[in-house]
Amino acid sequence: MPSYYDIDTILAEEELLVVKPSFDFSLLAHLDPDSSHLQRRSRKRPRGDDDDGIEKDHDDNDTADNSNGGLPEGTKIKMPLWAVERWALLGFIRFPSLPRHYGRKMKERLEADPVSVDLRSKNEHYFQTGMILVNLLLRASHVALRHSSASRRSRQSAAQNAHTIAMEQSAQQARMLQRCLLSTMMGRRLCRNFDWALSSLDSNGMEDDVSSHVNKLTELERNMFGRGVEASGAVGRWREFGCARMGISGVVLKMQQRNQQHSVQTAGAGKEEKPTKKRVVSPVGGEATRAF
Amino acid sequence: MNYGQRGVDLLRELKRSDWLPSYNEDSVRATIQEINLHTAELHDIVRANNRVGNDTATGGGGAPVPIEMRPVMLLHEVSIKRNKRCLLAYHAHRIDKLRALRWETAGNLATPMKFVLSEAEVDFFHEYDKLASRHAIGGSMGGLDWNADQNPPEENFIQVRVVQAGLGKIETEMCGVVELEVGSMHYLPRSDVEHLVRQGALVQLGGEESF
Repeated sequence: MPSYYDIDTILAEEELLVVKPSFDFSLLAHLDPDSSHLQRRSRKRPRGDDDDGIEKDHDDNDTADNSNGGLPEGTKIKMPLWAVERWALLGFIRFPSLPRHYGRKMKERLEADPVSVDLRSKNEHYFQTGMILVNLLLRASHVALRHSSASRRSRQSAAQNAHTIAMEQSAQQARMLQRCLLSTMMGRRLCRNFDWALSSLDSNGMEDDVSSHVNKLTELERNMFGRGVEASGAVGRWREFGCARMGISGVVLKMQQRNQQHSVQTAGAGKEEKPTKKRVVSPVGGEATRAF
Repeated sequence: MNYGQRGVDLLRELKRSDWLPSYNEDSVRATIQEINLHTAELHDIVRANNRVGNDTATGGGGAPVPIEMRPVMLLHEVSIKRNKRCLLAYHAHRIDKLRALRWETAGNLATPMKFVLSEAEVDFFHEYDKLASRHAIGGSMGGLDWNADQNPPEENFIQVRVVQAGLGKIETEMCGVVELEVGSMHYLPRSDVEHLVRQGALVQLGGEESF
């Protein structure tokens, strides 16, 4: 399981899902952008005193739920993955459909040609989000099935039955998605990724060459690519100098690059760099950063 | 819908920067405020529910929460946890980087690095440095310099060129006092100059490059 502190996992959970409440959710009308739109329109119409106007209008429209800010059953809302997890496990919501880039069409595209698909434009953390999504769907269906098997002994309504079947279907869908994600990530995409990482060893100006390739990679693959390039560079250095050569620490190198960029931006000539540096040393805190 | 957005923005900032972005105190405070807001709303809902419960049933323990109220409460709770997780991840990431920095630069915090850190982080770095060096000196491996020889050494002496101005003189055990002027080359014991090479003040030269 991913770590609690893992930034990529946290960002991967930002994916928006379409969900449908299975009953009326009170106080959550603001989650549905259409309802607030309705309310605003109704607020505009009377133009008199606010509260009475809204109530009257709602009576006219016969949407009593909206008056106390409720989200009626069956409304389609978009929520991030992290927010719906608890709801899904308690059976408060249903998933009418998965996001389009995890759907059947995308799956067919990925099976046809996994290499050329630009996954980054769909979701930067495509695979991590997919994994979390699959996990959530499987767990939700597992919980639902257990509930239904417990209630079967007493009696089962038609709605419950339909819900159970829907959950079984979504579990099946999740398993298929899981297989598809795995074969996409580990298949030709990975091979191509390795190829590029190794071939960038020869040319020093690799940034120009591989940008078209790297732009299509998700964060996970980019990470792998970066590590690959680093490793192949390290092999090259080892062949040339052996292992005794000491390098500059990576952090120092990055800070030096940043300093150079700053000095280029602030002062054109190199001579002017010194006095600004001296000024920086004396003050502490906020002023210093600004002076820098 | 922008629950938990502030916290995630903080993390995005971390992802964008190459080492660490400057400590974003405003966003951290805004995130904490958001947590407080969610807590207050959650309290309000619970209190309202208890009042209703006390009116109908004179139990005192409060009525069970009606099912249509549960999603709101859960959403507030999840948002609080989410924001908390974002904040913890933000700080954990920064502290991890600082810890790694201690071992890379042997406890030397360069001034440009100080500017991206908060005061508490600078304190943390110094405290951690103190702890680490005390452990290195008084630990069971007594006398072993933990920062030396991060790469396996091949020779005792190495050829270096000075590339940074203002280093002054260093005192070495075997070569006495050496003045490090920009552009000059020296043949020095590896252990004495390793930290300077790591900080980018000196560059190690190979056999052929020195001639």
